[in-house]
This record gives sequence, C-alpha cells and structure tokens, in this order.
Amino acid sequence: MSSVDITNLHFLFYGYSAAWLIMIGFVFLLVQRSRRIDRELRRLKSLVEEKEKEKQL
Amino acid sequence: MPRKTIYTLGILGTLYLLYNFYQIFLVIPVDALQGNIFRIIFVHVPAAFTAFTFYGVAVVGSIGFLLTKDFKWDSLAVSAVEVATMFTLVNLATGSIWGRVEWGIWWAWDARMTSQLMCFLLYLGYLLMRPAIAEPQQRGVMSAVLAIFAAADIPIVFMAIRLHNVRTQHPGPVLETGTLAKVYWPPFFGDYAAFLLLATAMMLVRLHQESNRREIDSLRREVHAI
Repeated sequence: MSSVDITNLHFLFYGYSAAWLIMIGFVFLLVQRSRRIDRELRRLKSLVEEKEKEKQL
Repeated sequence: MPRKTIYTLGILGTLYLLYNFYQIFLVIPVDALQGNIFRIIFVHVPAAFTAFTFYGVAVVGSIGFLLTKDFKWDSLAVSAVEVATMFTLVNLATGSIWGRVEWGIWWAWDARMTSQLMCFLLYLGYLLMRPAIAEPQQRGVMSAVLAIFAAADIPIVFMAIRLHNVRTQHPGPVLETGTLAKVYWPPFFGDYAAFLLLATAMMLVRLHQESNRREIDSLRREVHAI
C-alpha cells in the first residue's frame, strides 16, 4: 500500500468519524434536553397540584 | 407521538446505515482515480439531500404557521430546521475533509461551498434567534419568515455547479450526467434513505419536546394565575 493510499484511508476515517460524532453528539443533546424538559414538566405539574390543594383549604 | 414509532424509525435507520457501510467498505469497488477517499461521497451527498429535504419540511411548516397561526406548524418547522442544520454540518465537515485530500486545501471559497455555508449560517441564525423572542406569536411569525427567506439559498446551492459562468472548485453533478457508476447507486440512495429514517426519528423527538414546552408555558401561566 502506497503512502497516498494510507493518507486516503486516514482521511476517510476522519470523514466518517466526523459524521458519526456530529450525529451522536446531536442525539446526546436531544436526550439531555428531553430529560430537562420532562423534569421541568413534572415539577410544574406537582406545583400546580400543590397550589390547587392550598387554594381548596 | 408514540415512543414506539421513534424507536422503530431509529433502529431501522441505524440497521440500514450499517448494512450500507458493509456495502461501501467491503463490497463495492474502489474508485480508480480517487482511491478510498471517494467512499466519503456516501455520507457527504446523502447528508446534503437529507438536509434539503428537511429544509423543505421547514418551509411547509413555516407557511402553515403563517396561514393558520397554529403552533403545531411552528413546532414542525423548528424541529425540521434543527435536524437539517445538523445534516448540513455533516455535509460541510465531510466535504472539507474530502477537499483536503483531493485539492490539498480544507476550504475553497467557491460558489457551491460558500452558498452551502451561507445556508448553514442562515438556519443557525434561525435557531439562535428563537430563544431571543419571548412572545410566542411574534417568535413564530419571525421564524417562519426567516425560514422561508433562507430557503431561497437552496436553489443557489443546487445551481452553483450547474451554471457554466460560475467558477467552482467543486465537481459537477454526478447523477444526471452518469459520472457516478450505477454500481455505486444502491449504497448512495441507501444512505439517503437511512438518513431520512434517522432524521425523521430525531424530528419526532424534537416535536415531542416542543409540545412539552408549550405545556410548560401554559402551566407556568396557570401557576402565576393561582
């Protein structure tokens, strides 16, 4: 295998790695944001319930 | 949107992508002129196709919002833009790496690459602008207008390698001219299909987040009212 072929393979590896890293990074950010939003939603729902109970009392 | 649909699309897309990678790296022949680096085309171009498909979805969502003022359309637009922008970044990064090998430079300010970079920056601006506008109706209208305005760049990207009087370092079209041999077509369109499945799954997750965010906004108003 010539040095040009080896360089080609290296850059092919960099290209595919970059593509996978960007996609996996995006999925990771999506999951993190989903967790944050779900947590906030649960907190607000329980807060509304508490406030309504206080109001009834 | 049921989680089952999202998982099914995600798993199908990943499996199809892995099958295509098997074809790309172990089955199809090496390009006689470029060698192994040519195999980057199977990510580079399908990523651009996927991005443009989802920018199209964003335009539909934006027009839908401007006509109906229903926030479901706005959610569709922002979800599609976010996924499309990520795929544009994949396209730009892989293109730059390919260019480094073929042309000896990481970047050339030619018509195709510059217009694609503009497309990325315009939609990145769209995503950065949204949190800065507090009033939902105003945010929706301004975002929709920007999404439609930015889509005007897509025909420029498309035509940048097709017009004879435009200087470009980028190679010409490979599909309609027959430059891409038929043996390369199955993994090429296969990767496009796999990216579409994955992008749809990601967009559905984003849509679910947007719907939850609207619920959070209404709950906050309720808390203040109580």
